[in-house]
Amino acid sequence: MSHGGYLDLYVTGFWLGLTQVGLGFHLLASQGAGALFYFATLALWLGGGVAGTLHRRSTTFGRGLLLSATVAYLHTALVARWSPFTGWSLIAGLFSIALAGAFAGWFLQDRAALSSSGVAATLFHENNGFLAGYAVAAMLLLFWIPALDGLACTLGLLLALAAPTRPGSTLSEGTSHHRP
Amino acid sequence: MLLPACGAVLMLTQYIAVREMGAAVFPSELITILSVISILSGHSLAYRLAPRLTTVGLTWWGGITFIYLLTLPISIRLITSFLIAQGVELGALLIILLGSTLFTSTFFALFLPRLTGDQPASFPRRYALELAGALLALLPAGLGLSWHLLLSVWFGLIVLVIHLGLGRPWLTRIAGSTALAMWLAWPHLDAWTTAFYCRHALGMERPRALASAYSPYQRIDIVQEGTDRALLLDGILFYAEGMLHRFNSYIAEVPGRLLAQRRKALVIGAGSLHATAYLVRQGFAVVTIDLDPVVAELGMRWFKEWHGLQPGDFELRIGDARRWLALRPDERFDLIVLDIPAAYHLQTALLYTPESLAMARDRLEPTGLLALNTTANDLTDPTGLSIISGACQVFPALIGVKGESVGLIFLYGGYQLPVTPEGLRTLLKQEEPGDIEIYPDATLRQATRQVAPHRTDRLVALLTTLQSRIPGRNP
Repeated sequence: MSHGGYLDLYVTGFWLGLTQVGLGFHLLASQGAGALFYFATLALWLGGGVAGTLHRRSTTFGRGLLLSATVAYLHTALVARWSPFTGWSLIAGLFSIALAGAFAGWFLQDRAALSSSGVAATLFHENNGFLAGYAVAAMLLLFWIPALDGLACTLGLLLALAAPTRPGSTLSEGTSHHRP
Repeated sequence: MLLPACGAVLMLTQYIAVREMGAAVFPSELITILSVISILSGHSLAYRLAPRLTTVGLTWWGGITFIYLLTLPISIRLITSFLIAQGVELGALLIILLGSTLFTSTFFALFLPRLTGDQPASFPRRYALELAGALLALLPAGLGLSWHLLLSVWFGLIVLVIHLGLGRPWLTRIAGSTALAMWLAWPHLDAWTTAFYCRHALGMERPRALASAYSPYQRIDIVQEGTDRALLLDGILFYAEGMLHRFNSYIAEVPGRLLAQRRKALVIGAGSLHATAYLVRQGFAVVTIDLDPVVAELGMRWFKEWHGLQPGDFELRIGDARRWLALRPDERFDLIVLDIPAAYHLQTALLYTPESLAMARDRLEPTGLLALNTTANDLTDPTGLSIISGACQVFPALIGVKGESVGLIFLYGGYQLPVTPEGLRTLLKQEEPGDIEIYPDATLRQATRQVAPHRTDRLVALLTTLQSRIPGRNP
C-alpha cells in the first residue's frame, strides 16, 4: 500500500472518530442522558455499518454518502442548539448517526477490496486514525465544542472533494467498527 | 458463527469493561475516554498481530484473555483499591489501561483479519457478520438484564469464541466449567470485593456490603459501617453520616426554611432521598426526578429508617431532568434543588450550564428559589467560579453560603431573595457548629466578573473538575 493509501485510511478513520464523538455529544445535549439514546446511537451506527458494508462498491455512491453524512452532521450540530428536546433534533441526530455508520461500513469494504497489503493493514491504519480522532474529539469536547463541529465538517468536505484524485477511483476508507 | 460471536463479545466487553474501570478508578469523563481508547487500541494491536500470530500464540493469548475477562468484574476493583491504599492511584490506572489494551478486545478482533486473510472478496460478508453480532449484543444490555444475567451471556459468548476459534474440545470444557464456577461465585466475590474496596480505597474500618446493583448509568453500592449506612455511586461516596449528611441540610432543608410559600418542590437527583425527606417534612409536595431508577429504588429501600419516607409521600419521576423540564414548560415550583454529583461527567456537567439553569429558573414561582452546590471550597476555585459565573447570568438575585461542617459553597438563586445575608447567618447559627461564610449577591458577581461561565459549548467546569481529579495528582 502506498503512503497515500495509508494516509487516506488514517485521515478518514480520524474523521469517523471525530464524527462519532461529536454526534454522540449533540444527541446527549439535545435529548438528555437517557440510556435509550445511547443504545440507539450504537444500534444505528452498527446497523448503518452493516448496510454500508453490504452495499455494492460505487464511487458515486460513496462520495454521496460521505457528503450526506457531513451535511447531516452540520445540520445536527445546528438543530441541537436551536431546537433541543424536539422531534426535529432527535431525528436529525439519529439520521446523522446512521449515515455516518453507513459510510464507515461502505468505505471499509471498498478500501479492503482495493488494498494490496491485505485486510489487516487496512483495518490497522484506519483504526489508528479512528483512535486519534476519538482522542482529539474528546479533548475538544472539554475545551470548545464548536471547534469539534468545525473540524468534523471541514474535514468531511475536504475528504469528499479529494475523492476523485485518490488512487483506486473510490472514496477512501472508513470504518464501521462497533465502537460506541 | 465465530464472527458474530466475536462481534458480540467485543461489544459486551467494551460495555462491561468501561463500566468496571469507571467504578474502580475515580469515575470521570477522563477515565471513560481513556478506557475506551485503551480497549479500542486492542483492535489495532489485533490487526497488527493477525498475520503474524501462530496458532500456539493465539491459544496462549486466548487463555490469558479468558482469565483476565473472567476475573474482570472483581480484579479491577481489587487491584485499584489495593494500589490506592498504597498511594499509587496513577499506577493503578496505568495497569488497568495496559491490561485492557492487551486482554479485552485484542483476541476477539484477531479472527476477522485472520479468516479474511488472502480472500478480500469475503471481507464484506464477514465484516457484516461481526457487526451483526455486535448489534445483537446490544439487546441483553439494552433490555435491562440484571448484571449477573448479563455476565452469564458474556461468559457464555467468550467460551463459544474459544470453542469455535481454537477448536480444542478439552480447552472448551475447561473454559466452560471455569466460567460457570466464576458466574456462580460472582455474587459472593462481588460483595467481598466491595468490602475490600471500601476498606482500602475509602478507609472504612469494617464495611459490609448490603446491596449492589448496576444500572445502565453506574454501579450502586449500599454499605454498612457500624451503625452508619453509606451510598456509593461508581465507588464514590455520595451519602454517608457526617459531612455528606450535612450536605443534604444545606442543599434542601435550609433553602426550604427560607421560603414562606411551600407548595411544590422539585428535587433533581434521588440519591439517599434525604433531601426529598427534608422537604416533605417541611410540607412541600415534592417531585423527585432521577435518571437512574435503580438509585431511587435502593435509596427508598435501604435508607428508609433514615429518611422515613413511604411510597406516596412524594412523586418519583424517572428520566433526564433537563428533558423533563423542557417538556413541562407550565410547571412551577417554589423550590428546585440540584442534588447531583459534581461535574465529573458530561451528563452532570450539562446540568450546571446557564442553559439548564435558565430552564429551571423559568419553572420557579416569582418568590421561588433554586439551590445548587457549586462544588467549590472558596471563591478561588475555578470550577466553582465558572458555575457561579453562569448562575449570575441566569438569576437576578443570588446568595452563597458555606458552613464549616460541609466546606462547600451552596448557591441559592431566584427572581428575588427571601432573606438578607444577616438573616441567613442568623438562621444557620442555630445548627452550624462551625464557622459560617455568607457571599452576598454583589460579592459573587464581583468575584466572577472576568470569569468565563461554564456553558454547553464550553464546559469549563467539566474541564477544571477533571484537571483536579487526574489520578495520582489529587487524592
